[in-house]
Amino acid sequence: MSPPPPVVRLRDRCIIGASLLPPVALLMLAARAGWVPVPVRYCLMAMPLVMGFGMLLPSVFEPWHRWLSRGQSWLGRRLVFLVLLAVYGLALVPIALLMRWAGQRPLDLARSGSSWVKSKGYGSLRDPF
Amino acid sequence: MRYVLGISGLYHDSAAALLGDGRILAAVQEERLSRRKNDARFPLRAIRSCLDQAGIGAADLAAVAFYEKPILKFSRTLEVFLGWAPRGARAFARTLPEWLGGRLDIRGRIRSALPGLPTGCPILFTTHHEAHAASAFLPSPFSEAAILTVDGVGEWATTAIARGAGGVIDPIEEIRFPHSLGLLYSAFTAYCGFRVNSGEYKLMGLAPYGEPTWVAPILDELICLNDDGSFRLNLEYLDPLADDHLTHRRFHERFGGPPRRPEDPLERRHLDLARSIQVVTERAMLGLARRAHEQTGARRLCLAGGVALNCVANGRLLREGPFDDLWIQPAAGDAGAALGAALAAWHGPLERGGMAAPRAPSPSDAMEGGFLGPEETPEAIESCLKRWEAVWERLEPDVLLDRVVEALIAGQVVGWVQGRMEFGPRALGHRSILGDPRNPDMQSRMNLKVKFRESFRPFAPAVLAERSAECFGLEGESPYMLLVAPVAESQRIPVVEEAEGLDRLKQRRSTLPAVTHVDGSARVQTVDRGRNPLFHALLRRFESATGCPVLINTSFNVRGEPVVSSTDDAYRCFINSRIDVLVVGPCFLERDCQPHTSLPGSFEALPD
Repeated sequence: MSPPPPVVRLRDRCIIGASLLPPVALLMLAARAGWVPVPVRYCLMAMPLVMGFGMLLPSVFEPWHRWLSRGQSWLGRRLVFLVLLAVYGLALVPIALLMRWAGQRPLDLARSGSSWVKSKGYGSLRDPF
Repeated sequence: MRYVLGISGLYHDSAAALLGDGRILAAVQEERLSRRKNDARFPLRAIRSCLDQAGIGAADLAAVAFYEKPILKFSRTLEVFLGWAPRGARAFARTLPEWLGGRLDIRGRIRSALPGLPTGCPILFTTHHEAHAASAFLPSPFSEAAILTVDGVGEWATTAIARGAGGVIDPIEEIRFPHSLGLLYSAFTAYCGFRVNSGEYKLMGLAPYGEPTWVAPILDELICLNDDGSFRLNLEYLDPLADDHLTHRRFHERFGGPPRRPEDPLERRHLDLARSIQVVTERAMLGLARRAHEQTGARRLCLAGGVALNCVANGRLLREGPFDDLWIQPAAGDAGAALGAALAAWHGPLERGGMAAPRAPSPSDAMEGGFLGPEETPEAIESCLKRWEAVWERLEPDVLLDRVVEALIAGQVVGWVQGRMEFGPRALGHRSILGDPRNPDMQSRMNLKVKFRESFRPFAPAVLAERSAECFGLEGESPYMLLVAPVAESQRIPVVEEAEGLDRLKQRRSTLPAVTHVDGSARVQTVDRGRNPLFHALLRRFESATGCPVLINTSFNVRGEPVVSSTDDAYRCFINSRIDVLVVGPCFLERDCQPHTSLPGSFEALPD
């Protein structure tokens, strides 16, 4: 595999620097809860320093940034999956049951009879619907 | 010249096609270039290849056409979930992010893929079955025909009948989701352990080894075939929202057990199920063809959609159906819909947003023999071989043909790469592996040692068009290898005692054992000088030397690999398989002379 290209753009340096902030933020939360003996204001002061450090040495922190991005995307996918499961259960299923109660079924699930449907034409080519 | 680009993709088999003043200039499947089989990603490489082949840029395009109406398809997807609820929660959570992640904004996607596209250039949308119908009728040699399109599902339609006349296609009627012949065939494909949307042809190849013992249960409980040609599925047995298996627990209980895993051995039950669903599919297709004939009164039929790749059913349609003639789009699956979308936009009426160009059917057809992909110059071929430090001879065409024939007669397997790549799933003599069909060991040798695939898979014969009737019971031509015909009686060898199951493979049934399937049939490709001059010359040379006008012709790839596209793909495949001789353009390479014994593969291997 070829090595990743060197980080030169300011935007990329900022992104890599910012990727160092979540651990400091976690440390700050732990300090606020009294789980670690570090004053909260030190954590706040450390944030710009850590970010600047990341911006100055992007190649050192680039693997961490990649790992964090992968983790975020993994977590994001799972969260989206769970949210959509909830949407399905809380919104789609009730609507479907209401439609059925009102005698409407989007799918033709009858067991007999012709299934031919007269075509209504292809519609305009300009429309994506 | 006015150029129209057609695009299909984001479901399976993405592709692009380019028309120049209505003539098909180029058509390429994304998988051939990305080296990922059945690649469903947006076909950026295929689009680039089409534009490069024509020597134009995005700024030269007069229109771009996409093969589906994305918003209509999305609304169908939601309605299906409404109809299926409370089942389908997992499928909903898996499907929706794909839609929200860019499948709805096709215009935006096309514009970002084609940065120079003029703002005034229209982006048009056909329906899925309109694209299939256009791909079937508009390049066909017929001025008037019935059109039948059958596949898994488009927006709502799964099967559609239309009438084509001149450049106009009138849709008549359709069968809608969930009643789908393609879905049913795919459900059996998955149940027998093959991959949906790519393993269907394996199931078709398996069918002749079994007996049709499950036909009655399938017709009683799974699908009802009506007298008017329509059909209905019993959804209690199927789970159309599950991508991977498609079958419900009741299905497994009814058909004798859980689905076969790909690595499991094939049982007698799987062979019988393959045969039974094949019989049911053929009956359904004959019913649909009769209906299309009644509705249109046409004497000719054009066919497209994934189910149209079932060449056994196509052969029966031609022999037993009500039509005098049949033309099947060689890229009948979703890849061909890219071409259909472009053609529908070109010939479509002005009031629908089309370009209303008149159509003049060509006496053969407009597919250019199916050779619509990229090709490499002899210099580019040699430069690639140099990079690999390969050993080759550059030969004159006459000498090259003689050397290839010598190798074939000596029982060697030849990789053959010439001219433009084929569009569609079949290799038609430009990206092929060739062998001598008279050799009884050739089928198992090529399956197991060259292509590393299942031993039961049959090989297709390429035969000189002018001598096809002597070898096969085929009336007319089959240039795209889409028809199955019986091997001629004169070539048959009687089998004294019929074996059972896969043991039937070992029995010799004709003078062309390597291409004769166990039911005495063959998937024939007729080769004529007009469409395929070099391959025709090779067959002629082989015939002069042996008296046999037939060669084994199978696609140049190994299991899980898309058909090779470039010299680089071909050389790697040649080294990694046991192909004895490679011919790329004028270059002749022998395995024993090469410095390599293995090379990194050029493709992303996919499981079956």
